[in-house]
Amino acid sequence: MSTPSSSVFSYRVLKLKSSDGEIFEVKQTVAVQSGVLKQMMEDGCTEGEIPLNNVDSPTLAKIIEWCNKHHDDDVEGRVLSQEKEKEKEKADMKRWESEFIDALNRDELYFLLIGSNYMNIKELLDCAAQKVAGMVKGKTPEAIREMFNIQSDFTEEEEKAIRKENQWAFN
Amino acid sequence: MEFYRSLASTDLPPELIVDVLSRLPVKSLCRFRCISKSWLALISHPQFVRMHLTQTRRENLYIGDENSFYYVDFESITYDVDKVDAVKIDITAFKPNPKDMRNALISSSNGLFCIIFKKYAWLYNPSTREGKQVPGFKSRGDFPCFLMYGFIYVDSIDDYKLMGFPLNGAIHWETYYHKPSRVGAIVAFDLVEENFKILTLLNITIGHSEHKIVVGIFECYICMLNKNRYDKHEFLVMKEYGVKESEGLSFYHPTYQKFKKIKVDGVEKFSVTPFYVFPYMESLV
Repeated sequence: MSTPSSSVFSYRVLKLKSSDGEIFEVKQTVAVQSGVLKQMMEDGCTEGEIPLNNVDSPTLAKIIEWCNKHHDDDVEGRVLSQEKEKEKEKADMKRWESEFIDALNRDELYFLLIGSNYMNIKELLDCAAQKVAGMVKGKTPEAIREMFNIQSDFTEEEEKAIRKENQWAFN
Repeated sequence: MEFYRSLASTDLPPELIVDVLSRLPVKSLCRFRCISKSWLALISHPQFVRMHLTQTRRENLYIGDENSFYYVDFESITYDVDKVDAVKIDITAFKPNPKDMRNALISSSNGLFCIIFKKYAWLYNPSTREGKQVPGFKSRGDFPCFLMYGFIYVDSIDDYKLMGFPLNGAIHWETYYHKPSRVGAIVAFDLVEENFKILTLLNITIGHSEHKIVVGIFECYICMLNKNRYDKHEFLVMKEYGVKESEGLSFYHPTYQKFKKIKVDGVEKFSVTPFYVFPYMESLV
């Protein structure tokens, strides 16, 4: 599969510019995990700096760390390992992912969510959204309102009625 | 910089909030209905219900007898665990007396139960505790022992159809138990290849008349629950067809090619047959 042009291609780097002006160099083979950057590469418009206005430098550093860790996964020509080894690799990666996500505070997590959505990196988005879902799952409505900055627009009676209908969900 | 970050953190864009919500259990979502009018509208919206269904396809395994209904989160079962929790499903909102459930036929699709009892059929969602009778349904009368009604969700018309055989959504097998002599077998119909296959269960002797066997399909797994004469329950989940005899609750691990006994909290309480075992997925449908 590998042709001379594709190996040249793999050494090329993209210059990503975060919202606060920092430049990050990323190999094309790594950047391809971002749906947005992949599209730009296919369209041939990756010359110069690529501004990422929704992603600040700490978040972009995290995103690139994730992509570097994951890009080995489907490099062409890699010898397919045995079933059991693959299973183990998968488990190791899962462990790495949860450690990566668990180390973030709430703000970092939100920024990662927004950044991975903006850059269209599906696996990272899934992982971050799942983590937020885990944080939200057991919370009371009051805590959710505070978390997402929501004002209730129900009257007291309306809210009481809805709570009564869904009483079992509060136990 | 720090100030900017903390300010913006409370402001996830709506599409990301929807994405996060679509990953939540039904119970949380029912609780969040009272948060605001827009949240209530979102959680009830058919598009969100569908999104939630595809997003949360968490693999659960439903186990029940006429008194108790449980499901086990299948994804929490790994080779390393010795015990899993069973979540009790509430059926008190369901109108026919739960005591009569031993005569009912139950099937499940997309988190909905189809319960056929006394010539009538109900659709019931144990996660949201909402149910309704299927209009115009009349059973053929006496319940044949091995013929079960199944139902299938037809995507293109967004409706549920009752079928004369067990068939569940995206699952490509129809099976039922049949016992020619003392050897148990599962007959499967592969919808993709459109042919029948007979899967023999090695080393399992089940040809005893008081043995009750329930076979279900669970993703690519075949589940079987066997009550033997010593009142011990065998519960096998297998991915490959060469199955060994096992007592207690066992899960077959396809990678290690070994059975592992895992304690399921609550299951010991089951003392009465028949059991129902089938895939269950909670939903807002």
